[in-house]
Amino acid sequence: MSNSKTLININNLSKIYHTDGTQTHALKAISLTISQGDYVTIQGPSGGGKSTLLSIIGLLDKATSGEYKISDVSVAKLSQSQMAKVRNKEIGFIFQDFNLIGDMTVSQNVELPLIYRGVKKSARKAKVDEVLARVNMTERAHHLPNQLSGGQQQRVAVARALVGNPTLLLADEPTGNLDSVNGDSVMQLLSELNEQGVTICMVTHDSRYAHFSNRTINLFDGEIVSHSSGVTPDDAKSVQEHVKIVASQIAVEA
Amino acid sequence: MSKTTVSSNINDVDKVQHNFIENVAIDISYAFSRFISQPMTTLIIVLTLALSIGATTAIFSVVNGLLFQATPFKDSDKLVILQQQDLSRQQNYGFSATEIIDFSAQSQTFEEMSEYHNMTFTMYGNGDPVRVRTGVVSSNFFNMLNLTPIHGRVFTESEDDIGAEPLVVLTYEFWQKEFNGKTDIIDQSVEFNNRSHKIIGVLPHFPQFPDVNDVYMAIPSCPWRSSENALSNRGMRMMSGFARIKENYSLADVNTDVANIAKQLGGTYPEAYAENANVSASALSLHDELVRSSRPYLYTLLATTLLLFLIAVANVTNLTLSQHAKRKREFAVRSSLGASKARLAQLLLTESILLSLFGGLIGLLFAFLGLGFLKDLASNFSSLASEISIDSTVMLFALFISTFSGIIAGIVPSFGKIDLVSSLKEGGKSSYSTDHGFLRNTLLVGQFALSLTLLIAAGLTIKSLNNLQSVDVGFSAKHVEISQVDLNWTVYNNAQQRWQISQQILQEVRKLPNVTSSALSMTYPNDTVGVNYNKVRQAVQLDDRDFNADDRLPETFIRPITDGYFDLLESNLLMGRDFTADDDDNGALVAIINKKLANQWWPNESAINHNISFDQGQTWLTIVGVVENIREGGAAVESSFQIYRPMAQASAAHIAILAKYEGSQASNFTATFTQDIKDIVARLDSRQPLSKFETLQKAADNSVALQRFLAQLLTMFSVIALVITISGVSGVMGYMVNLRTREIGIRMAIGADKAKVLLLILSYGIKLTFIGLVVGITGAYFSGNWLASQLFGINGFDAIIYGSALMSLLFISIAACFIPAWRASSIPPMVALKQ
Ligand SMILES: Nc1ncnc2c1ncn2[C@@H]1O[C@H](COP(=O)(O)OP(=O)(O)O)[C@@H](O)[C@H]1O
Ligand SMILES: [Mg+2]
Repeated sequence: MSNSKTLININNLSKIYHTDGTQTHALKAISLTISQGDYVTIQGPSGGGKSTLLSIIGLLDKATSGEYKISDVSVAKLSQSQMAKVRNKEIGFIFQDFNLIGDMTVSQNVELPLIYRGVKKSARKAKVDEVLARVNMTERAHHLPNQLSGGQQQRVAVARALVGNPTLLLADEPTGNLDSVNGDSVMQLLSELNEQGVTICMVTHDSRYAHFSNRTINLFDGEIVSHSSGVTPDDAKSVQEHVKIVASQIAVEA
Repeated sequence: MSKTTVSSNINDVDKVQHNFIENVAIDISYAFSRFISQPMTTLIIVLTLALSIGATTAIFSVVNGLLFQATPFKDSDKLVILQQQDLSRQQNYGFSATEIIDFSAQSQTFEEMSEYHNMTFTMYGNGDPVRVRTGVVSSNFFNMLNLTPIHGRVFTESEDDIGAEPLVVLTYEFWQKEFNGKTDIIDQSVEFNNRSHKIIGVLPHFPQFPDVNDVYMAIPSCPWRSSENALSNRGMRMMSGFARIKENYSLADVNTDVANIAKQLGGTYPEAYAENANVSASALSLHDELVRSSRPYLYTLLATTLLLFLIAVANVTNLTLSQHAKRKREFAVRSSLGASKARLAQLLLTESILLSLFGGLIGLLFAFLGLGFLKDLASNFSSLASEISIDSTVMLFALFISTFSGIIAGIVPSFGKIDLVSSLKEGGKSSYSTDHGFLRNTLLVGQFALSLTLLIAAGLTIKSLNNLQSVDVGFSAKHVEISQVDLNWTVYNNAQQRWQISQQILQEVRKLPNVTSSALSMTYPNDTVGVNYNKVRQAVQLDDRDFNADDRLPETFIRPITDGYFDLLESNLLMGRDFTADDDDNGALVAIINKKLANQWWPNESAINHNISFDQGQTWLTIVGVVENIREGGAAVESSFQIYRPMAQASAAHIAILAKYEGSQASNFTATFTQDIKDIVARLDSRQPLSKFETLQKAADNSVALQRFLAQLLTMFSVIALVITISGVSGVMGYMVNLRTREIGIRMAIGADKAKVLLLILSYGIKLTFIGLVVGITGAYFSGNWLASQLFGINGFDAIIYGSALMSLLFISIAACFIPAWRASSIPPMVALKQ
């Protein structure tokens, strides 16, 4: 995969938060490239700048200085609405606390990115059905989020992130609010997606899951302290096998 | 997975435009599910809007009916009332038959002149005899007003000619009441006084002016109008003139035109005018004349409902802002999924407009329900009340203000930027001050200010009404029953006959059991029919000075009365004596004048035993008494000069029978009185109808109907405003407490007690209230000054009203803040901290 196209190119990027006269250097001159098909894990202690980095990659926030290109397009030059459009078409988000919209049913939540894209109703329906089936939530299509367990909500969130066929999937501690069984099943999903070619960038505390990825970045105090090019294929396989067994158990229960 | 590149995605002009309708549909369906999941907020917003839009729309329908649409005649702004003047005497008068012909022929600015005068006839031949108010008009009158009869026809030009067959056209209301709407009455004949008249048509309903008539007669049907004297004497100016302005001419043009004609006629026929008359003529807009008296009140009303509406909009905007703050996370999520700012604004706007349209719809329903009530009230002061309706203009107005409030409330929350990252993390639990806090507080301050302004305006209006009702009007209206009789002047065609029947009626009334006092008079205070009867237009000669034709007093009236009149009205005789039964047609001619006239004529001596003459010394009247000033034209109008004469010596065809019953305080004698008078008059002359029954109290009440209308509605609006403001204050305070629950928990954990927390929250609300009230005082000062210039007997500043309005708003605000404050201080710190 090392010879595939560069998707994200970050160069000398810094982020400074100004609050009440104090400055927080959340990111300090970070440089990083992510290629298409990569599965990158960002690790590090709390407050290290992981979420900040992910938000900037996801165009939810702007860097204070430095350069960030996505598919060779310089983000600094994009307008608010262009950024919204990129988020809509290129990026899928998965949050630690799911962030489903409470007044909307599962399928309405999943449909939303397609609505914002202007997809026709019939096409939307087919696509929503497809991704809901993929995350095993078809039967819950008409439930409201508060009628679902945490694991189920996160699977809906994954479906919503996937529905627009994003180039880049960003996940900020997706398993942070889940028990290990549900967490494993979500990780299994992400892993499958990566195998199908989706580029993933994930923040996690749980070093077990780092082994799914092919690269790990360690952020400490706003700086990248180490890169590692992932785990051996054998290690990855064994963890994946374990996850698969757990996932199938959940599927039976559901 | 097939992919387009990022760069092409950024720049593609996509199908969003095509999907606009679908997007709106999606937003609407989402809005509905939100409304259902937030029933309380939805209900409060919809009700707030419904009340204020309902009130504003209802008042607009009144203003629209009475002012904007006042004359539903086509191009009503082209209709004018013409009148002649003697500029040197500042006197207005109408036109004589020959002058109407001259003006029509010479005018450049209007087509032809329509004439009008008003008569009372007695109609026979259709059940019981009835008194009929009759407009005598030229045939072009209906054409000028663009009236087409609903049955039959109106007069033709040849039917204006003297000697033509007597014809009448019925008004819609009279036709319904007296003929039950039967169409076979066309071409039938009925008798008016002593002549048979053919009914040729029925008019549609229309707002009548200057009088509300029962029927309209052609010129030759009126014996007075077709008399030789009326036809040839240029000085017999008893007709009103109306005209429609020609295309391309203005009111000013007509004014110049008629002034010239009048001047020229004055030069040609000097004998037809008073000595040294400075003759002129002028035109008034019919529309202006119709609405002049009620206009300031109606504008005041409209202004106050608009205040109410603004209060409601501020409140709804504030509620929407609070809602929006709670939805920060939802909007951040939508944004992260690719919704642009415009798309999010559209969502908010859709929801808001939807809510305001609901509110508007219910408001319109309220307006419909209140319409009958408003029309009833308005009919007490305007003959145009029947024109009030919720027509397409009113509905458009309702739609407009609903949409306006929807847009304001929907667009304001879109200002300002959402911090996506923190919103996604904390889900709206940010500090209070950053979320439109300033805007929210400003809106609340605005609500307080407007509410105070409204409250003070209502207070001033009520005070004005009270002042009006406590004016010393010179009589007591209590328990006086009245019946009006318009004598058939063909039967009772001389003074002796008129007095004879009048006297008989009075004698019979005085025989009635339980009647403690009674009298006859031509008119009585607040009698809308007779108020301008018997105006003295020439100078009165006094016994102690030379006659001077220019010593003419403005607004002087002769009021025929019988003995007992002042007793009955409890008006005080200040000097001399009352009339007695001996002051009859054989006795010496006597008069009683009011104090104002006595002071005018004999400021330094007693008026008693002075003599006055209306015919330059041929006959003299001796003044035998001076009575206190009676306000005849309503409490707000200063008394005019009054000369009371014994009815036996100055008979009248328009008679009011006044009576008081024993123990009136305890029971209502109106029914007894009505039956008694009907019996008496039927016994004396079975062919003489009665005109009208009312009580003096009712007449007095009607004279302040407009002021009461204003006071009642302003009070109602103030109450609505207060309810809205309470909901606004408690909403904002509740929201603030919600956001600060954690902070409160921390404060309590580190030792703040309940009282301190209570004070913390309360002081916040009181601070806002205070600012609002200070701003409101400024507003109230200006509106108060304006009201003082429009209303009777008040100053713009009134310490008691200001004080009580301030106190009640302060009290209400503290009460509304107290509940959320108490709740906040009652949360256990551990629970608060976990938030
Ligand atoms: N909105 C913000 N304002 C001020 N400081 C912030 C903000 N968001 C994050 N920070 C600070 O930036 C640093 C990095 O935070 P974050 O990226 O959330 O770390 P992580 O996700 O690794 O825990 C921290 O010191 C945090 O306090
Ligand atoms: Mg984080």
